[in-house]
Amino acid sequence: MAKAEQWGNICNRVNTCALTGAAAFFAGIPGAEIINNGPLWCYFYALRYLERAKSDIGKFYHGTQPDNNSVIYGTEQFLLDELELRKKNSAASIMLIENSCSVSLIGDDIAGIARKAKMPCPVVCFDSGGLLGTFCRGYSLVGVKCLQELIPSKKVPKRVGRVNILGMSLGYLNDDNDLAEVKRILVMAGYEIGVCLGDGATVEEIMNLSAAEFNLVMHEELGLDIAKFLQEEYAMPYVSNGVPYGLEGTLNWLKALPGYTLKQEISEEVEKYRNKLFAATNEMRLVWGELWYDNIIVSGPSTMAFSLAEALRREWVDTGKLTAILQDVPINKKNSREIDEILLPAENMKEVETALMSFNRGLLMGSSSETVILQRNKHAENVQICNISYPIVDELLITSEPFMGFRGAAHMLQRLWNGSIAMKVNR
Amino acid sequence: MPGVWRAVGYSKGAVVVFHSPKACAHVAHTMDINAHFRGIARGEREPYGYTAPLISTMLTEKHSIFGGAKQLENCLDFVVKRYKPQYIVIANSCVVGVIGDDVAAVAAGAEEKHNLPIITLPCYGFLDGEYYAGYYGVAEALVERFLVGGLPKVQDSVILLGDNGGPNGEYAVEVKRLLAYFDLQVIGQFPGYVAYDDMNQVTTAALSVVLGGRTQANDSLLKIAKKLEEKFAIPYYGGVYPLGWQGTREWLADLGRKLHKEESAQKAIAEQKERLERVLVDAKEKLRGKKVAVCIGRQLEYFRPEWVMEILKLIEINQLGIVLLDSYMPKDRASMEQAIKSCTNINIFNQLEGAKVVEAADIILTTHELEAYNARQLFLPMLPTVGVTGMIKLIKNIIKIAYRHGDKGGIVYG
Repeated sequence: MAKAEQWGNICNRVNTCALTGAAAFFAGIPGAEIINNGPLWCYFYALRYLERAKSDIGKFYHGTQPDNNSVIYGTEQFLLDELELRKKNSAASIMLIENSCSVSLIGDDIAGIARKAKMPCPVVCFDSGGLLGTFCRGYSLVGVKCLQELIPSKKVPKRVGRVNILGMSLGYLNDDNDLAEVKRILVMAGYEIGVCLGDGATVEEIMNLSAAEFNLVMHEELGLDIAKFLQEEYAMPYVSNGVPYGLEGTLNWLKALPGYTLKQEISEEVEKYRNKLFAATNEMRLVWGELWYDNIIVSGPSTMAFSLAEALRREWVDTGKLTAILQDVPINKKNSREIDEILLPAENMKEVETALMSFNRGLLMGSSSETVILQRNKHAENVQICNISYPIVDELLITSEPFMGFRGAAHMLQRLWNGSIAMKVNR
Repeated sequence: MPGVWRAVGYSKGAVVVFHSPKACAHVAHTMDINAHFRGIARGEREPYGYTAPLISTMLTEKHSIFGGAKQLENCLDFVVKRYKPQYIVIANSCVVGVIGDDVAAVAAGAEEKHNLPIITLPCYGFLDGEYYAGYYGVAEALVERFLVGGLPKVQDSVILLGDNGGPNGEYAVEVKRLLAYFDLQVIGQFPGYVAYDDMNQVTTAALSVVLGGRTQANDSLLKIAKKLEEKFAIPYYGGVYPLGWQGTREWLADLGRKLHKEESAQKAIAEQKERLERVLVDAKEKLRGKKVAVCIGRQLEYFRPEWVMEILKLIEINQLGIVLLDSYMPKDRASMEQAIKSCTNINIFNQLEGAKVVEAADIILTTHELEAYNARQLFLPMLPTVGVTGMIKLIKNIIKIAYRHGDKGGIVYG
């Protein structure tokens, strides 16, 4: 039986609901439309969350906004009205109907209502409110449901070296740039990119996903359950090896892939970046000293925070103590020689609160949520901030620079150095 | 639920418990993050003030079957032990409304057990009203539970009622500035910014001033003001909104009459008029030859057009027309048309006809962001800044956007 989550000030943790996660998966399918069968509050929250990455999501994401009588009479009429509107005004490739928590409890037969509406596209129905869990649970469960509804072909010929990418989502900060970098590196390493499920793949592409030789799980909390489903149902092997941060980290990540052989292009790129970063940072050291932090906190989705924390200490900075706060409960227990302390808000809420409330003189890699805590505790002036996850209100990231991969290694090192210099200039 | 949170969110001694799935609390937390940075950006709020811990009972699927009352009880025990609050406010989610937990009974039991005030409302997420239902409900409960009479009044002291961005927000700062003409001193802002230990100071106020805005907010706050008058003999000043020049003038004149300080009111009006006129001279010069269009899509309940029309008339800018966006139901559209016609004779267009008006305009004042990337838009806020300060801010923003060079469009938040 799963342990009950620990209570604590919610302001110390960052996690959105399954409703948002499910919507994020479908927002990553071109042509998909989403109907949020729930109150305006839930709809707007998910909408605003996803708008950060997909500014036109409002055109594809709709709400039924049932009134309080629905508790007695159900939401059928509200939903049917919305479905009629969609039939008239859109040509969706696939549709998600997601129930909020309270509507899930009412017990409407959503699938039956959808059948009654005779929608011209596949419809996935999902009780996905916060009662179900967090963003990653909504994403991974609806990912499996989507495959169960579409039933991709099992008869597609396999292509050697073709890889599907699972577990990436526009619900994660800088996802589009990271996905582009991951694809670039994989192609450079000789792989063929298959389906990026929930992050760009069309319904037609998903139907042929079994052509891949293997599935590559990026963020475990999003993609591992989907990979396991595909292994069981389609006999597709998978690899789950974290996400690639740092130069050496990315190289090691590549080496763990099935069929990997070192390509000249890769070794040349790594060499180019090694030399460039070494020379540039040495120059900075002359003036500004070392990138040393007494304490570091890395807080974010579990795979991201863990992998980034490792790269941070191995390749970019030095520190007296490195704490990683994994905002969701990782599927597999994680340990690392690089990380002094791993905290899970669900299990170590008191320690998380203490770590954030007492944090001083160091580097915080997290979101604006943690920054607010530091500012309210008068510590922010002594802490260098580097945002790596949503919500993000205090920084604009609009260029195409990734966090992941070889280009990401240079970008992150640049952010860390510039942040450190700005701190010293403004001291 | 966010109304409940906001009603005590910055009251030292409070802890807010959302009897809800975890995500509902995250929604309120996200709103708080945005408000925090908005405050910093505008230099409005001391960013290091007290913020009440926000705890979710973390309802899960099993509670939908077995009920969440025990979970709430345990959570309250935890909150008392961990945060040692002076009082607790429970906000109920729609899930709790559907499950049917007897929250009042749990709260009463915990209150007795811990000898600590615990407030809850019969409001359940979307099942019972919106933001102001929760906000008003908590404010009323605080009055009933914590405020006691019999303390001597502090002469010329004022308690502000409402939120509008808090004590350092533009609204409260402007009101304080205007109150100073009458030698009135603000001693607090109720309910959200009064610490538990300072609650009794509220009843020492010689006057309460309602920070009204939209109709619904104003109605709720007026009820609180009336309650304070009935229970603690605190007269109130509310119902007039110091928005635009006419509104500000009326607000000052009415307050002067109420306080029998007509001369102070006249002085204030004269000084504010002079201040405005200095800006108007400059604005007329800078905006000569510029053309403006106004796009409105908000219901009359949330947007009164009079103050915008008044400012445009005062700066003597060329008005091409008013475009009513397609978002209206016929009845709401008719109400808005009527309100516009009562204050201006500028032509009104529908969205289709109005496209050419928008295209020809140098500046667009709008309640909704338009998609055109090169349209120079000024967003008309739900809660505009009051007083002459608010007018000057809007006029300066109009000038800024009019002087935007090149093909740069985008929106400026008024």
